[in-house]
Formats: sequence, structure tokens, C-alpha cells
Amino acid sequence: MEYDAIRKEIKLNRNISELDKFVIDFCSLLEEYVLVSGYVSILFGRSRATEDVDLLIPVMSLEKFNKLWGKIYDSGFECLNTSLSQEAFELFQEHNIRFSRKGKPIPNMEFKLIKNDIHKYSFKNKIKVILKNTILYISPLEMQIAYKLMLGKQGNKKDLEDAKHIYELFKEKLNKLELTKLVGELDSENEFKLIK
Amino acid sequence: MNINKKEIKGEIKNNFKERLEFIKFWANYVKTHKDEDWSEQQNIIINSQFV
Repeated sequence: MEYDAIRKEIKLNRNISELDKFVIDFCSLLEEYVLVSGYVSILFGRSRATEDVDLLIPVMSLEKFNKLWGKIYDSGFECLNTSLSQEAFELFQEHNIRFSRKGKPIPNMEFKLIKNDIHKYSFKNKIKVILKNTILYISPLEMQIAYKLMLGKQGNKKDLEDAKHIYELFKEKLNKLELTKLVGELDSENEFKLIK
Repeated sequence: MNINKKEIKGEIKNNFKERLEFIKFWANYVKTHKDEDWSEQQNIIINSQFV
């Protein structure tokens, strides 16, 4: 694994898991996205499974959503919330919606609309991961750590462990100033002390 | 049943500390071994979910 922080690029030569295949197949249908949260830790070796993969998507028109919906269904995926495109679009404005391979609800892709500043930051500063011959886009590592620490504040140890894994793996190459700033903005200084 | 809640709290705290130590150990393993090596081991956990 090689991380070029200047180019915002990570080269990864891991053996592709079934979860990776699911993510690669789904993401190949999307024009713009950023993968966030647990899958990012798993992609880089965290030793755990997951039932869902979180994905941030920019705001899109109904027309664009319908086109994407068609591509998703033609590729063997389905929406777990509804089978109607219009209804899914309306739901998506307020809630996250999930997609999985047809008839197999686990794992599933949780679609989140880019709404708040954390989402916008993650999308704007995304990192390119070159995984064998495929490209995936993930949230910046500093935000990944800070966000997981914030979630860990609610008592979920799994999130603190995810943050610890990414921190230990990349600590020599992280932007420490940026990380400290983000941890402060997300009120997670105490959790950061726990994993350092 | 006589449950010592203080003792259980201590066990939970120690368990978490040990887990963090293992995560540090494993992250170091990932850093110092080829991607194919660590991912082969990790995929056993991930792929078992798909059986």
C-alpha cells in the first residue's frame, strides 16, 4: 500500500474480497460519489465485516436519478426501501436509501445525500484509491478519523477501533494540523487521546 | 446471583484496552507486509459473511 498525500492517491494491491466486488460493481455505475465510514477502514485491512457501505452522493435532479435507477436495476441491484423510482427519489431527499444485489439484502449500499459541511468536506477532499485496475474514491483520512472519533463518543467502540486502525496505519503521513483541527471541530479531543 | 458490577466494569475497560493494542499490532502488520498477505487473512472474515 502506498499513500501519496500530495496527490491524494493510494495504491492498493489487496486481494479483492466479496465486499470489495460488491462496492466496485456498484460504484462503477456512479459518476460522482465518495465512500465514507466503516468500509474505508475495512478496505485498508481492518479485521471486521460489515452489513452496509456508506456512500455520499451529490444532489441530483429527478431525471438524473431516474437514469441512475435504470442502470442500477439493469446491473442486478435493487432498492430495499421501494421498487418505485419516483418514491425512492422523494425518500432520498429526507432519508438515506439502500441498495443491494437483488434478493440479497446484505451487504447493502447506503446512499446519503451530501447535505452538511462534513459531507461537503469529504466530497471536496476525496482521495483516489487505485485498487488493482479499479478506482474508488474515499473520504480524506483526517476526516475519516475525526468523524469516527465523534461517533465513538456515543459509546460505540467499533467506531473508535476503526479510527485507531486508520490512525496507526497512516500516522506518519497524516496532516497533523488538519487532523487536530477536525478533531477539535467535532469535539472529539478526549476520544483522540484514547487512540493515540 | 451475586454480581460485582465494579469488577465487570473493570473487565470491559481492560477488554477495550486490549482490543486497541491488538488493532495497533494488526495495523503494524498491515504496514509491514504485502497487501496480498494481510488481505488473504482479512478476507476469511469478510467472505464468510457471503456464504
